[in-house]
Amino acid sequence: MEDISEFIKKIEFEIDEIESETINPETKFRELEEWSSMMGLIFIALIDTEYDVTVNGDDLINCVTVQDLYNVVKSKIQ
Amino acid sequence: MKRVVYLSSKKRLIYINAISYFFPETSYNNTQIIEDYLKYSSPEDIKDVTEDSIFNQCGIRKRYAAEVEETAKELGNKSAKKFFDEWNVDPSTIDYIIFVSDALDYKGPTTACVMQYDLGLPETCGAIDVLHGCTGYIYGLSLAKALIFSGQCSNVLIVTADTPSKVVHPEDIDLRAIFSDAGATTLVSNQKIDGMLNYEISDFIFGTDGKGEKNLYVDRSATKNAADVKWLQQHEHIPGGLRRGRMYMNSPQIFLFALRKVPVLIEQVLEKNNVKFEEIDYFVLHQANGQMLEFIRKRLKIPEEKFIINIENIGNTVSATIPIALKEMIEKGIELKKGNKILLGGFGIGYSWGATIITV
Repeated sequence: MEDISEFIKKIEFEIDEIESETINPETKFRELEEWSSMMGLIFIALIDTEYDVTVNGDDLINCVTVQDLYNVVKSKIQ
Repeated sequence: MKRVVYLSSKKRLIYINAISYFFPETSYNNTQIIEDYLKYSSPEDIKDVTEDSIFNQCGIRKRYAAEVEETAKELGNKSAKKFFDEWNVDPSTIDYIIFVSDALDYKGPTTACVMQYDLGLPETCGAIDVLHGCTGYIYGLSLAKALIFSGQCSNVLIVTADTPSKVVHPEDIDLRAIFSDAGATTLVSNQKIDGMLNYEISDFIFGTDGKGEKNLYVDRSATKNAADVKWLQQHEHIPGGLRRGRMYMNSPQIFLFALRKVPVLIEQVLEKNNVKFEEIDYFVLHQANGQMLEFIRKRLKIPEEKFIINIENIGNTVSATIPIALKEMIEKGIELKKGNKILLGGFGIGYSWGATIITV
């Protein structure tokens, strides 16, 4: 799987209002001003289409930081 | 004896000639749906829900609702009457009516039969209902085209109308935010008519996956698990009483379904019609949810100016979204040139999906 910086770029691309490089691996994504339950769905859909991996709601609930989310995706690919 | 197959050397052309639409008088903004929600739930449940957060979830600020006794047929009739006036069409020229809705008046008679009488269509007119939702407009167009292509009739009126507001509980604020009531009427003909749209309809593709049944459905709405007295009594306090059933939607599943299927749908309809992605001038997809459409647009790298999203002050009007969006393009002055290609795609309840391309 590509490294986390590419993963972050893809996330930033989906969040319209966000300045690039606002997000880093330690970012707690639920604390972002733009966060909403729809954003959670968009994350799931993004991961589904980009990495062909299905992350479910429970996976997402267990993630706090962007790094956590990246790790879940990576583990599912392997 | 060998069977002889005659292939027509000349393709028979069939056109979308005119569209009109109708919205009910009553509409609700985001503040009003929050107020209604609070009548059935505690403020604690939605402390983070605001006018703007609803807009950010679905791209909608306003949606319409029919009166309690005003059915989808009534909205359809109103759009058809408006259509006859607006386009100066004589009802006696219509020889087939297709009513597309998930909210038919009866199990029998066919709602379209009643509409023949309501609208003063000729007695020689054929009439059929098509029970479909989000893909309904595509089905209506494909059947109209098939009827004309096979020489059975010349002028088909497609009426797409729905009243999802009647089957949404105010406590389901995410559904209330999205769904909206409206009717639209489209004329499909075997010839171009001066002063009309004359959009040529090309080939269709379809898709169906019934395993999506319970991810978007109207429970207690017909013969399966029919509403009983106990169920109805539970909902007596709600305006309209949910007497026509209650809609359930698994939003994450529907979102993923759309995201997986829409790109394939687009690819297949382009291939079927031998048209390249870049040759499409406008994409008019079922207006399901503004956020979802925007996500699909970005995934497919479709430029904003080619991708129609008109949901903000209308909402998701089920089978009526595509004709309303097409008509609004003209009303907003988007200049369509001869030869422009518009891709139309519907997807949703069923699961069901379908698409075609029209040429200006």
